[in-house]
Amino acid sequence: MRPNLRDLGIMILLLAAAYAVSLLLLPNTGVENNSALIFVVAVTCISRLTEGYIYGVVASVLSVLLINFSFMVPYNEFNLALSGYPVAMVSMLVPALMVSTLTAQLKKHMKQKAAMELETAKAGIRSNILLAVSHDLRTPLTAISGSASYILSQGEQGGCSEENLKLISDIKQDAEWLTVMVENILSVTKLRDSGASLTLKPEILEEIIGSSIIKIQRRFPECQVNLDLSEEILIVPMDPLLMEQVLLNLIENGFRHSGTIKPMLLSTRREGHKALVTLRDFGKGLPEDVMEQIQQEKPVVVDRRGDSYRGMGIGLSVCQSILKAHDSVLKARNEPEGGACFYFYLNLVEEDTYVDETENIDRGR
Amino acid sequence: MSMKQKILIVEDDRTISHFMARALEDGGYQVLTAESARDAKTIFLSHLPALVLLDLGLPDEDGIVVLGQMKVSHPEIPIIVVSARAWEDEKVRALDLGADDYVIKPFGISELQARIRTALRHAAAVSRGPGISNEEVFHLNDLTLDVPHHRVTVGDEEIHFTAHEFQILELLFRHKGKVLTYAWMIRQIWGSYMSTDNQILRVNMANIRRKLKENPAQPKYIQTELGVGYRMLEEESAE
Repeated sequence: MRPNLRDLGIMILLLAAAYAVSLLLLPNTGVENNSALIFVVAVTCISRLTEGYIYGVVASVLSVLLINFSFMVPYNEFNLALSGYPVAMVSMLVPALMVSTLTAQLKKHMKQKAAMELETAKAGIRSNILLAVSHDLRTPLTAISGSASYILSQGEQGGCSEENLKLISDIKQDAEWLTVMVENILSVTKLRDSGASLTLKPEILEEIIGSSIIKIQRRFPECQVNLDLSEEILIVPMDPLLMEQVLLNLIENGFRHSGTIKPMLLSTRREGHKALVTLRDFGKGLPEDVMEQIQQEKPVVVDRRGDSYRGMGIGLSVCQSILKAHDSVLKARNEPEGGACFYFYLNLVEEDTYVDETENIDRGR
Repeated sequence: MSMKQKILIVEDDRTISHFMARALEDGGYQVLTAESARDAKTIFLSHLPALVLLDLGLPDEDGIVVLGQMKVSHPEIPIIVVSARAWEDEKVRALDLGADDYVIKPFGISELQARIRTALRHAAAVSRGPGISNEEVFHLNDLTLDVPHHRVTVGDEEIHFTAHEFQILELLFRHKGKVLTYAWMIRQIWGSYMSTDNQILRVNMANIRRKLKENPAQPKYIQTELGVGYRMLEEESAE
């Protein structure tokens, strides 16, 4: 360890102070024990204020020698043969070592705490920024899509030609698409911030499915999804908004990229202790490289496919992360008779916990 | 009745209040706007509008606080909360504080207008009679709920419901068009000791929907408000 001038200074200063005080006290008391106590205080202080053990140990050795030389009979000469000498030595060294150890631990602890605080502060700032950004993006997006929808609702009476109305409808569509992307980015932030501690609440699977289809049809009225739902009520622990995001992304993906507007088929059924959710389209199927990435459970990246595929990669990789947080994996296959099929298994809430027991009490009344 | 109804738009972003104002003026309302919580409270008290559209993200004060204050002083004036955040907690909090409805940005004009009409109709109904509907027989499309006879029919077919299922349907009917939060519904039906677990309510609801043969993607009677609660549709907004 490199000698530290500041610590060396502290040691010399405090030893000098202890020496001075002892000198002052000596004519008045004449008892050597006082000086020993004063030096113990000095050594303790040095251990606390300096880095590591070395200064405390050196200080305690020096103290023992100084006391022996200056404040013990015979004064001004060393007498190492005194009977209590080892005791004095040890009683100097022990507090020095203990305090140094404690100080070192304390400092380490404080460093860790500071690092942790910095980390949480960073995470806090990050999610605050993302929340702020999402709010700030949503506001202009609302104004864009809202204003566009107002002009559209006016129709040609509003003074807009049919061609221009088409352009405005495009503006509205793209504003809505951007909103979905903002939503996706937010979902990922939510996942990253909560980490493994995402709170999953028991939800009825078909409610999430219904809600997501209603939402998608508000944006794309021509998007059709047929349902084949389990007759049994499937209760899945989940974050409902994130799970809805999964379905929204998959359905939108099927609608935009399958190359057909033939109705998709969404089905649910129980398989053992899991719920199987399947979304099948009847289009051209998934490109080979996307399929490969999904099968290898790698985040889907779609590149160099032109603008018509924009958003597909983000949408699917968000699905993958959300499902992962639900202890599940996004899977896909191309059906032999054509069309892509996405599917995943979700944990079910144990059956007997959701029997409405209060119903019987009620009837008994 | 030639006096136009006043709607107060509280929104700090001008581009949004612009198009909302245009659309509402076309709809035959007189529009007042406020860009801060302070202005909003002043205009609210001096004009006593027929309805308030309240953005929760205001520059000078939390919109939730403003909502609470308005509802304390004039509970009869309906407030529709406009929120940029989709997090369900905020919606539940706003509804618990008395908000009549909420819309999430971005929203379409027709959606906004429909919500406003519903809220105004409810407010009118409330001012005419007692707070909640006291009818004994309710109708929605082909669904009929006969409270004194404890009978539910869809068209001509009678459907059997358990006691709790019937109570849930009745509760929804009495507050038709309004979002009822899970916790509130559970308190009404099972009492407050159950309020931590909403699974019972959810399972009952799933059974009700099966008995009514609801298509989850095109509900005719009951709509799910994800993470918040349920809303019984009204004839106008029924799809």
